[in-house]
Amino acid sequence: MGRILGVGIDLVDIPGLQRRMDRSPGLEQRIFAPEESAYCRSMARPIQHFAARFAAKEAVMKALGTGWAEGIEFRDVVVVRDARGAPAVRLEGEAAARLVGQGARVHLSLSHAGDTAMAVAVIEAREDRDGGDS
Amino acid sequence: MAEIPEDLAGEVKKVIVECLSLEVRPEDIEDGAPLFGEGLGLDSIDALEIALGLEKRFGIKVQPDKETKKYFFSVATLVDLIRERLQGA
Repeated sequence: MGRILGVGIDLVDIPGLQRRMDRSPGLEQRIFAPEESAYCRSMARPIQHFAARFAAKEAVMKALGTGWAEGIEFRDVVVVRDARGAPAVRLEGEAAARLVGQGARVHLSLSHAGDTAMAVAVIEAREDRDGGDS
Repeated sequence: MAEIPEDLAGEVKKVIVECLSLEVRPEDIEDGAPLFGEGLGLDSIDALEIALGLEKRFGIKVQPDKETKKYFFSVATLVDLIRERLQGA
């Protein structure tokens, strides 16, 4: 395991997010990448998956130690599925730029129960690039 | 130049209260009070919703980001942002 660069956690109230997405229809495309929307909308209960993805975006931003005020957009943190079906993160734009050259990897875990979705994100520096002081 | 409403701050307060379904009256929000974190306690989704509400109301393009962060602070700073966008349009 490489050096841990950051950890972030976030809880999302599922009905609360539903309410906000219902009253502000433009919200979905400001927060989620088209592929995330398509994935969530293909599920039996889309809002559970939207909520888990939103928690993931917040958790990753916390792990990065940054947010929208520093130029990171929610759409820059895209939740995808790896070959085994486990959730993974693809960073784009400013979020990706932050980790360029650090060879860092983002680990993500999602869960939901009842009205709450949660996510934990850990950013790990790769061992082979972990020799410097920077 | 687009027409700028006389009571721009009042209009912004109305947009905020309406688009976030807040339980305060628009006139109870102070022009200079912080909207996010401490203050009214609004979060990042609220900022996006306010941006969408302002776009709809004033026909401008706004996105909370690095460039506009100084404006997403209070009603007074949002008024500055809208004035700038309306005059630049």
